[in-house]
Amino acid sequence: MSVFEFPGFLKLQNLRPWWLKMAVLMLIGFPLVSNRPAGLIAAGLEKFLPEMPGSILAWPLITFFIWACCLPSLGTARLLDYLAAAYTMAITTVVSGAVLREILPVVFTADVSADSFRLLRVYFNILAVFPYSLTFLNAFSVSDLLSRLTKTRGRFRSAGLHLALALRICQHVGEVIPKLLLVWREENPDLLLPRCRDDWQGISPLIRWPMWFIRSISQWIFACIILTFEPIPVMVNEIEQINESRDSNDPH
Amino acid sequence: MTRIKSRFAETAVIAALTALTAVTTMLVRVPIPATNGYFNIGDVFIILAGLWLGPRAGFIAGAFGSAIADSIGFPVYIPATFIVKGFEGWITGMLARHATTGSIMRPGLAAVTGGLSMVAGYYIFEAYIYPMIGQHIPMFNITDPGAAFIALFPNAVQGISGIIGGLALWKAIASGSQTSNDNNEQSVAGQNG
Amino acid sequence: MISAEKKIVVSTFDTYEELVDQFVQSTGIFFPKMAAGRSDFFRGFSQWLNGTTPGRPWAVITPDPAQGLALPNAMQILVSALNQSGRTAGEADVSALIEKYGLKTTILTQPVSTLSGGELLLLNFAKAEAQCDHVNALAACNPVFWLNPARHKYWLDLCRHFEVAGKNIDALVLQGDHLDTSSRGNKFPPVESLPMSLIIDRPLVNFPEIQFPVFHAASRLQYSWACDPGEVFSPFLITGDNGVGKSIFARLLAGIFPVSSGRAVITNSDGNRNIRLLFQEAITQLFALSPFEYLERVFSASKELFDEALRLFRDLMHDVHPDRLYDDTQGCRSLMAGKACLIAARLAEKPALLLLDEPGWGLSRQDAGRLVFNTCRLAHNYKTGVGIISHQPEWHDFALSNLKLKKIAPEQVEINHERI
Repeated sequence: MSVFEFPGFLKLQNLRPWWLKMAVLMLIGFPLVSNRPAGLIAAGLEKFLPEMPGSILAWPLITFFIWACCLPSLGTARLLDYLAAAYTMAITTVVSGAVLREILPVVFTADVSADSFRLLRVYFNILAVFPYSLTFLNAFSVSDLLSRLTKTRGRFRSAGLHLALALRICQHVGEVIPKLLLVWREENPDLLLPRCRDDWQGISPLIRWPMWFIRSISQWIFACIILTFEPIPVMVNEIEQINESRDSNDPH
Repeated sequence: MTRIKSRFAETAVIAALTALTAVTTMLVRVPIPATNGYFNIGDVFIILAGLWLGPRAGFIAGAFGSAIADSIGFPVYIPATFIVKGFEGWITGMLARHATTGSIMRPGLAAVTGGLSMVAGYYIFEAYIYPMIGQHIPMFNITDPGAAFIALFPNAVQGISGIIGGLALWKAIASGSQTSNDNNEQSVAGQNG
Repeated sequence: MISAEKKIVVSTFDTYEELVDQFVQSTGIFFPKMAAGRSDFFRGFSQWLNGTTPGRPWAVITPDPAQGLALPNAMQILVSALNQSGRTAGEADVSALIEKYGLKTTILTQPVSTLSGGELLLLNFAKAEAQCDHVNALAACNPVFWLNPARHKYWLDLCRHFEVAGKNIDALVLQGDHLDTSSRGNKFPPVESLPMSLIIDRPLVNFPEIQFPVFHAASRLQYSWACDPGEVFSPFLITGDNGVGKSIFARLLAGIFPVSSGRAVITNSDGNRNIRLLFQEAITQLFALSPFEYLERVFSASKELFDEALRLFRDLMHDVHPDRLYDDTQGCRSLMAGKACLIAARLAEKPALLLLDEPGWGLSRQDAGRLVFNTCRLAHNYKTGVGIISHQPEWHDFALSNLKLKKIAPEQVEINHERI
C-alpha cells in the first residue's frame, strides 16, 4: 500500500529559520485567536443568504482552512487520527453541554438559539484547535536542540546537560505509557472491561464500575511512577560522570 | 521536604513529575461544557511534587506539566493553567517545607490549601479575567461568571481527588524515606559507636 | 567462554535479587528491584535521593540494558561517552565504534526505545568502550543474555579492550549463563505434544512515526511463510537473530499489535482462539502488586477462578522451589514469584495458547527450565498450548516445533517451520 507523500517545501517543520516558522504558524492560527476573517466571511455570506446566519458556514470554512494548512505537515493518516480524537472531544463537550442546559436551565441565557450557536462554535473550535496545536508542537524539533547541546562546551554545557536529562526522562515517560497501555491491553483484551467480565454480572453497575475505575486508576498511577523512577538513578549517575569529566577536562 | 543529593538528581525527579503531570492530565479528560475546560487528575502529581520536593518542584510540575497538557487541544487555557497550577504546586510546597513524615497535619493543610487555591484560581480566571480579556481577544471569550460557577463543582472534585491522591502517594514515598533516614542514622551511630 | 583472568571477576548468583544486590554494593549505583513491592521500591529510591554520589566512576551494563542509556539516541550517547574520555568525537569515530560491535550505523539516530534487547546490549558495549579511559572499572550484569551465541565475541572484544587498558571487570551472571562454566541447563523429560493450527497470511504491522524527542520515521514489518507448515506442536519455539522481530510477532499473535492487512490466527484443537502473553518485562504486568493482590484484582468477582489461579501459582512455586519458602500474601519478593503468579492467572482462564516472551530473563537457567517445563505440564492439562519466544539455544532441546524468523528484506520477515 503506497502512501501519498506531500512535497517537503509544504511541510511547516522544514521551514527555516525558526522565527519564520513561528510567524507562519501564528498567521495560520490567527483566525482561531481573533475571529477576524470569520466575522467578515459571515457578514459577506449573509448578504447572499439572508435567511441563514453566516457564522454557520464561516466556522466550518475556517476549520477546513486550518486542516488544509496542517495536512502537508501531518500527513493524511496522522491528521485523521487527530481528527478522530478531536471529534470525540467535540461531540462529548457539545452533547454534555446540551444535556446540562436541559437539567440546569437557570444558569444558561434565556436565548436558546444563542446558546446553541455558542455550542456550535465550541464544536468547530475544538475541531480546528486540536490538530493545529499538535501541528504547532510537531513543527519544532527537540532532536536538533539536543544534538547541538551534546556538542556544546563552556558555561552552557551544564545547563545543556540538565535539559538533555530532563528531555530523556520525558522520553522515558513516553516509553512507559505505551508499555503500560500494551500491558493493559494484554490484561484486558476488551480494553476497558475487566478480565472475566462475565463474572461481574451479578454485581450492580453502580458499585462495580466506580470500584473498578478507582482501583484501576490508582494501580495505574503507582505502576507509572515506579516504572518512571526505575532508571533515574543510573541515568543521573551517567550524566554526573559526563559533567565531572567535563570539569576534569576543562583547562580552568 | 526531601534533601536531594545533587542538582542532576533534582532535575531528573522534577522532570519525571512534570511529565507525569502532563500525561495524567491528558489521559483522563472529562470535558466541562460550561467553560470549555476539562476535569483531570493531574493535580495528584502537582501536590505530590510540592509535598515531596518543595515549592520550586511544585511550581515547575504544576505550571509546565499542566500547560503542556493544555497545549494539546485547550491552548486557550494555557495562561490560566500556568499561573493557577504553578501556584497550587508552589503554595503546597511552601506550606509543607518543614513538615515531618510522622505528622499528616501540616502536609494535609498544605495539600488542602493547594487544592483550594486551584479551585479559587480557576474561578477568578473564568469568571472575571477571561471575560475581561475576551472583550479584546475573542479567543478568550469562552466563559462568564455563571459558567465559572458551574465549573466550581468539577474543579472541587478535581481538587479533592488531587489532595487525596497526592497525600496518599506522598505518604507512600515519605514512609520509605523515613525508614531509609532511620537506617542511615543508625548506621552512622553504629560507626560512631 | 571467559576464563577467570587476572582482571576479570565472574560472580554467579542463583537469583536476580542477589545479582542486583551485588551490583549495587560494588558500584554504589542504586538499581531498584522491581519485584520487591511498592514500599521497598520507594524506600530504596528515597535512600538514593538522600544519599551521596558514588565516588568511583564505573562503566556499567545494567540488568536491563535499556536503563543505562541516559540520552535519547545512540549518536548522542556515544558522542558524550567519547567526550567523557577527553576525546573529540566525530561521526566517523562513532560509526567505527558502533560497527565494531556488529551494529548498523542506521541505528545511530534511532530513539533507544525502538531498539531490541540485543541491540541495546551491544550499544552498551560500545558506550563502555568509549568510556574506558575515564572510568576505573566495568560492572556488567548478564552481559551475554540478550545475544545470540554468534555475537558473544563482542563481549570478549570488550573484555580485551578493558584488559589492555588495565581496567578491572566485574561480570555478574545468573547461574547457568554462558559465562558460568560451573553448571548448564538441566534436561527435562519430554512433554506430551499438543497440536495447534497456525494460519499466517502475510500479516503486516505498521509502526507510527516518532516525533519526540528524536525523530524516527514510520516503519512496517510483514511476516510470511517460507513454506506452509500445516500443524505446529506445543511447546513450540519462536526464534531468530537479535532485532528480527520475535517479540513483535508474539504481540501480533496475541492481538496486542493490530494487523493492518493479512491475518495471523492460532487455535487449539477445540477451536479456541484466546491467546495470552507474558512480556519480556513481565514484571510490569504485576502493576507493582504482590501475587496475592494481583490475583485478587484480576479475579475480584470470581472466587472460583481466584482459587484455581492461587492453586496453580502454589503448584508452580512448589515445583520450581520445593525447598524455598515464600509468602504469597506479602509483597512480591522475587521475579520468580512474579512470573509464576502471572502464568497462573493466565492458565486459570484456560486460553488456547500461552506465549512466554524470553521466559528466562532474570532467572537462573535451572529456574527458567523448571518454570517452563511445569508451565507446559499444567497448560497441556487444559489443552492450552505454550509458545516460547527466545534466541537462547537451550530451548531447542525442549520445543517440539521450531518457528525460525529471518529477515529477507528490511521490512520482510520469513518464517521457517521445522518439526523437532
